[in-house]
Amino acid sequence: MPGSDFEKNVFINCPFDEEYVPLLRPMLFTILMLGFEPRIASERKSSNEQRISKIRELIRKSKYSIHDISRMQAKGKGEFARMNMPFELGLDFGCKEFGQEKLAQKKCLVLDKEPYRYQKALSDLSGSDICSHGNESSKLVQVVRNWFIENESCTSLPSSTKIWDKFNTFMTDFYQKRSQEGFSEDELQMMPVKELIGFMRDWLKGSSSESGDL
Amino acid sequence: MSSSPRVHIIYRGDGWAVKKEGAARAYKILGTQSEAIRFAKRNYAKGTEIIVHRKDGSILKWL
Repeated sequence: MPGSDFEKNVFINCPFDEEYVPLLRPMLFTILMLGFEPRIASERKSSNEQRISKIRELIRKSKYSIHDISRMQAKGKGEFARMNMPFELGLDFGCKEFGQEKLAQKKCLVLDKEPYRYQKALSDLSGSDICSHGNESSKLVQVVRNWFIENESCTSLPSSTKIWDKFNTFMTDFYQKRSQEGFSEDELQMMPVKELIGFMRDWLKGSSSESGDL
Repeated sequence: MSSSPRVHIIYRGDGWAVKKEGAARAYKILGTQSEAIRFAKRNYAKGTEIIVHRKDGSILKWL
């Protein structure tokens, strides 16, 4: 199965809800297009497996991780803050800090929607490089792509504009083809992550074997 | 379906790009989505598929 390679795996820690889909999709696409493998807890759902066990396993197997803490705030009065994202961020930090050998090489990207907003709730991270995406899909592509440039010793990654444009073309083909196959708008919007990643991977393989851009 | 390349109206941080599929660069970047749509309709042949994307990359409409 793709994804057994520590050096290529990217653990993604983010909300799993419809509101986050506009950011999750381009994030998955960017990771795949740059030659890495997205790993996410929702890739495998089994009622007899504790989610925290899956998360620990994915964190251990992934050299890279992306933690989006932009949704941890409670939305309304009386609601609790969403603490899963900071919790998993802490697990990942701990894995790098206390892990041996290759785990000490782990690198993580922390995302929020605004710069410095995290300091109100996670002041322990002050002084760390947290990147903001402004809740914009195209900006998130740029941030993720630039982070890989800074953390991988490669200079030939496609530009964020190229990745973003290619993602838009993928979305066109994705909606057109899947609609013809009988998928409804709702099914396409909330497609299981593993299935979506599979479509993206197949599309990228097909598009790279054709000539031309976009 | 048209045999000529599709034209995409894609969000950029500084506006909306009109870009023919297969081209290395956008043909034009306009300030608003409406302007980009008008530009695409004026400058591409009738029958060319124009795909208007939302800011998140999903499809708003096909023209």
